[in-house]
Amino acid sequence: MRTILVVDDSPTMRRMIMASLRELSDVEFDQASSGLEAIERLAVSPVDLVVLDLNMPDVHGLEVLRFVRSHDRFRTLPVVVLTTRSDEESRRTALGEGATRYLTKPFQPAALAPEIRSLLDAG
Amino acid sequence: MSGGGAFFDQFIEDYFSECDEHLAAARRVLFALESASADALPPPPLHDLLRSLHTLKGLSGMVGDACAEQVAHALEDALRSAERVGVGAVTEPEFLDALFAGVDAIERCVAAHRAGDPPPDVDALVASLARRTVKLDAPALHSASDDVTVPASRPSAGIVHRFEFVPSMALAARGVGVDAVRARLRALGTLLDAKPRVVAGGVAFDFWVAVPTDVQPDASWTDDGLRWTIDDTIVAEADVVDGAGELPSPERTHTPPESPAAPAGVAPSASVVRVDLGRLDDVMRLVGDLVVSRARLDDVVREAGTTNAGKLLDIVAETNAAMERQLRQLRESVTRIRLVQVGETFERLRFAARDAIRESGKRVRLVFAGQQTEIDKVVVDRMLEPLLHLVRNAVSHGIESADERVAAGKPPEGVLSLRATASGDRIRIVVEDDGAGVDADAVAHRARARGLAIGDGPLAGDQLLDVLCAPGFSTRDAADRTSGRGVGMDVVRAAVRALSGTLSVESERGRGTAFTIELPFTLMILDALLVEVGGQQMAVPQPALREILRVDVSSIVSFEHNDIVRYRDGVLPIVHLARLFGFGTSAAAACYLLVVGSEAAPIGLRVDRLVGLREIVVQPVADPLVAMPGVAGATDLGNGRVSLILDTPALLRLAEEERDARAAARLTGAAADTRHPSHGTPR
Repeated sequence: MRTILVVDDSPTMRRMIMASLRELSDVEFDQASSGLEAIERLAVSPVDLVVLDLNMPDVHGLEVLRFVRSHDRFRTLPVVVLTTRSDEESRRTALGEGATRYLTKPFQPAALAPEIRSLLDAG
Repeated sequence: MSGGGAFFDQFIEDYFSECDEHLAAARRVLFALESASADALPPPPLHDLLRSLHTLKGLSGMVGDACAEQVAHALEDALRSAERVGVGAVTEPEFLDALFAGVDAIERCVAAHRAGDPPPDVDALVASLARRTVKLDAPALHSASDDVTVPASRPSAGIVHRFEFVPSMALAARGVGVDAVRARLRALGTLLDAKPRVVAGGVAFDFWVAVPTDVQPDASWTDDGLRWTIDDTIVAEADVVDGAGELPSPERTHTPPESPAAPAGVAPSASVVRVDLGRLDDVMRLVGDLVVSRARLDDVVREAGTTNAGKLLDIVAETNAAMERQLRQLRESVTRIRLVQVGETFERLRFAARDAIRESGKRVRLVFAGQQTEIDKVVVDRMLEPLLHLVRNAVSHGIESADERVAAGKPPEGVLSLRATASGDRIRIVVEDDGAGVDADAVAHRARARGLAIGDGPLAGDQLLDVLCAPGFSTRDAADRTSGRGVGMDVVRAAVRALSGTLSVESERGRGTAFTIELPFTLMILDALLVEVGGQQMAVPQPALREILRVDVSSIVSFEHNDIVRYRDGVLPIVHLARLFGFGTSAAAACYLLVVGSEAAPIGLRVDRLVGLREIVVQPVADPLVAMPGVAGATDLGNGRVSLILDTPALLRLAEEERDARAAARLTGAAADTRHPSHGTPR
């Protein structure tokens, strides 16, 4: 069983993401509604992949990403940024900070699962 | 568009409810911005508003609400751009108007999506917002407002503490997590910054909080994994020395014991769970079924009591009594879950009133009272439109222009007050203005001109309301405006009645008008008195009962087709329910009168026998053959028998209409028919 941490400050968006990934077998979900909470979840329980929003209260998604990448334990953890920011500059910044993938909202539910599956399988 | 339309349909209710939350939050920030602008104060932080807009944009995109997505996007861009230009740009009145218009447009987009209507035209608005958006070279991924930074207005006095929180599985199991800690620290003082840090074997969070000198954390904080020190590298205000003595020792360090204690002091926001109303309805239905089952058990126990089954029966009876108590508690708890504070609805009304006020060019101050009053979410949601109507009417037709007010010796600024109070199982909402009041003579004149049957006397109270709510009367024309009221009042009254509520009006020329809406605060389960009428059992909601009288049939006097009985210092008109519903009449020498209605105008409902008090579950009568005036619904008594629930407000209206019809018939000399034919009342 692998754990996906879904980080988004909107509970509805988290539910949408989890529902889109429901078809993946052997996967369970953990959730966080803020950047701080995301880091807390990473610290206290094992996580195999993170789906990360950028605009969140207090600690921005990019800071979460920086934190994760600066920590040996999480250096290879797949982090999929899922954001409404679709401009090239944002994409370049996030990938430069170590995002494994950069996906934008609105997303196709049918397209999200295969993407995540391939990352889980590669890990 | 997401292309996942059908897939995301399952989240549509979540979407609407999250939109409601973000729109409410956005409105609060806009009003704060507006008052900051008016008082030339620094504006409140914008990060929450930006995040609300950002979330609205993202969610709307997912569910295919392109209208809301587009406006939220344009608003977010315009706001970020203004924020970068400077504080003055955000609080500039014209820009504020654009923000208000934008939030209003999102609300209309979402409402249209909800109703399945075509979306409103927002192109002009989006274009005007786009014109305000300064194109910057590089979009900042991480704008200033996304950070927690030292706020522009520093805490007036206080010391900056550095709190360290080390999360653990054990703490998480107790519900103590970093979000709860942050909420707690926010309640303590001003949160200046929050940063994660890698420590041996895990992560620690550092929070910098400016804490007022008279506040300090207590021992329970250490139980929840928090350690704190004074951070004297940051000074919130000069006063540090004075407060130092009150602080916990900086050297003090605590190891959080594995205490089973509940997480004390977690801020309310961390303990709020959003529940889908449909699921709550399921729970309510189950509670209803349980009520019915217990009633059946009650009958069995009573029946078995006559067969002297001894000790075993005592145990069953005891269990039955305990179940009744528990069910009542369960019912109350579930009912409470459905309750929301009426204040949020008031805030939405403030938003609508703002538009109406600006449009009218009048000066109006809005005053709220009783925002904490709680009411069923379903009830309050359905009351929003009627309340909007009353508020808009009060602003456009009730309150006079500043010049007119000054000429009438009043302060130039009008007051529109919204008050909510709860009493028993009803909630009362009053919308009152101190405007010109309804011109009852003008209304009467127009009513006669339109052929509405009104008497010669002055119009007031319910009769005035009847005229204002007459469908033919409620049209938007100049005469209505000058007469003070009358736009869409029929819609308002219909909405109130649909919720078993009542609408009343009091108006005094020159002093103002007050509309009062009384509503049940919840609709599902009622305490009722079961009675027998012509061999049929009927239920009367207990809160409607003022008094029960036992009278000899011989003391009832028939007076011009009215049954009356002596009551206190006067007489009590009687509604003979068996006759009204076409049941057989009883030959008994005595009967019961259930006194209902107001203190000033009570009526007596004549029934044959009292059966007893019961909890009943209200089921609306859907069968048109069963639906009849005076019947609010039906209830399953648990013994397979269905009992009709009397609609006392409707019976009061029927009685009044009958009285008026007879009076009119008397005046014209015609034979006094007992009933208005349009009721279709069975005989």
